[in-house]
Amino acid sequence: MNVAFVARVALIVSVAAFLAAPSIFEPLLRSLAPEGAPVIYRHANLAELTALHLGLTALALAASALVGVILAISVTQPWGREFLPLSRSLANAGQTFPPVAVLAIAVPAVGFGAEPTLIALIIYGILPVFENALAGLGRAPARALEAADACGMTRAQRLRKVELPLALPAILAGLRLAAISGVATATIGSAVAARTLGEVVFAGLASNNLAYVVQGAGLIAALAILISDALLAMERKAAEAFPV
Amino acid sequence: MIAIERLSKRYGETAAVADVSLEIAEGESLAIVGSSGSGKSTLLKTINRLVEPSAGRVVVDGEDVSTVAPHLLRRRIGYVMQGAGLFPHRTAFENISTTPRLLRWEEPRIRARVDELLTLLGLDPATYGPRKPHELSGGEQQRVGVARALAAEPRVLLMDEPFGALDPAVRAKAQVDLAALRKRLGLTIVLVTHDMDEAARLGDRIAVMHRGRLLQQGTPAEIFSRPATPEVAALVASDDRPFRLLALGSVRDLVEPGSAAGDPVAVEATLRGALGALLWSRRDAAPVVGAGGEALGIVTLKRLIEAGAEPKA
Repeated sequence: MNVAFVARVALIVSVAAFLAAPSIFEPLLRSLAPEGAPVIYRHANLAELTALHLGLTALALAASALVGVILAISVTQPWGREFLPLSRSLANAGQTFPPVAVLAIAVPAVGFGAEPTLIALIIYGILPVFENALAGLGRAPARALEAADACGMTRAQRLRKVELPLALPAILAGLRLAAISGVATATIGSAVAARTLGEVVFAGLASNNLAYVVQGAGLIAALAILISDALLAMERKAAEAFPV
Repeated sequence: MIAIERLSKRYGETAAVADVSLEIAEGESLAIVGSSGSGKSTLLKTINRLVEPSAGRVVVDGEDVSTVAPHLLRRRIGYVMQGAGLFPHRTAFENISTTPRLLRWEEPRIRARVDELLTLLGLDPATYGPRKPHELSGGEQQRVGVARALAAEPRVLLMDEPFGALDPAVRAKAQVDLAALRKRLGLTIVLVTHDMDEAARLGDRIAVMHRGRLLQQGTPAEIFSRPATPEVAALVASDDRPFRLLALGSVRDLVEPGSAAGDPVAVEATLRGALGALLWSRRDAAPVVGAGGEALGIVTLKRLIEAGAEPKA
């Protein structure tokens, strides 16, 4: 029952209240909007935009997680070890492209909408997942690996029963990083007509309406904080269950 | 029966094991001794194929191990390593049940076996079964490691410096327990150690390795009293060598007719124990009694001192 817990509950309650009935918050935001301009964003349902934003991020996260973890497993196997440096530099290269550049390149290829955003999010999420999974797979003590072999596990059994459980906390840490940056990056997807909360921020910027900007940015920040919190809690649980 | 035939293992230019042949009889315990880098662990690991030899072969019960899939071979051979090597994320129960689960034993059979082993090793199943390795002391971890190695009822147990990480008191207890366990289960044991005392205590025979070569094999008494090379001599040489030698013999070997005064010594006592008793009580001889207390003769200080001397060539 500490301060952090209370703050978290308060944040969840405010987000829920704002999404259910945005007009309650109108007095608070009134002073930020220009004279005579609307205070609450009404061009789309905010709850729906939030759901789309989260859905897009989650879909991308699932794809990056799958690719990142499979890649990390592959390059730690005897047959894949020589691809380790190559895959490292590829994943790093993915991270060095600014998301806007990825969007710009993806639009001519797949058109406007959610798809280019999804591509950028996936490419962006792979590196943190991959690097953390790699670190996690290296976390199993050498003696435990030898014991797994000596007990008669096949390579696949050793991976499933020893290496992956011990890597889980690190993999979750990677997912957390990817999720936070994904929530943020999805915002700019609205520049290429993906339906995300970025729409609210951009509308505010275009019409010089600070109230819109605060609504959009506030929601995005709150989502990032809550997702990070939830994943951090899972990470701690996993580290407790699978100590090294 | 295990036969190691002309086995070599090379890493690049260096030979970790060079042309070693050894036989270990059914139910026998062989201790492989050597300093670090002698190739003793490498040799041990060729038996369950954790290491693949460069030349030569290992035959277990008439079967060349290179013809058996490694994971199947290892499910039949117990393996204990230094520091136990328990899976840190699994409880003692789960650790011990590893190989039976791989062999798809029925759940009740697994449970019964784990409980039996924990009890045999002096750990209460209800208390220790649910504990994670970090909740166990070093000695307890080691016992769980031994239980895990024995879980699938192997007839052969390989031990790589099993007690190396334990402090001396726990170590001595672990050695006594292992000797009892072995007698009870009729195990064939191959044990690697750098400690000559441990080798003498646990091995029916000792094989001494140095720089990948097998220098000498024989009973502990043979190794102590007649080291074949200067390297072996260096390994066994120390101020207390006579006492180590005496610790290997029993009073039975030196009983002679006669009578003596004072407290008797048991016929099953070690020569070292008998010598200690005589020195302490300032006597030249002590009566020897059997297990039922019957008088069998005497043992003399003179014979005991001779037994601790370097054998005449």
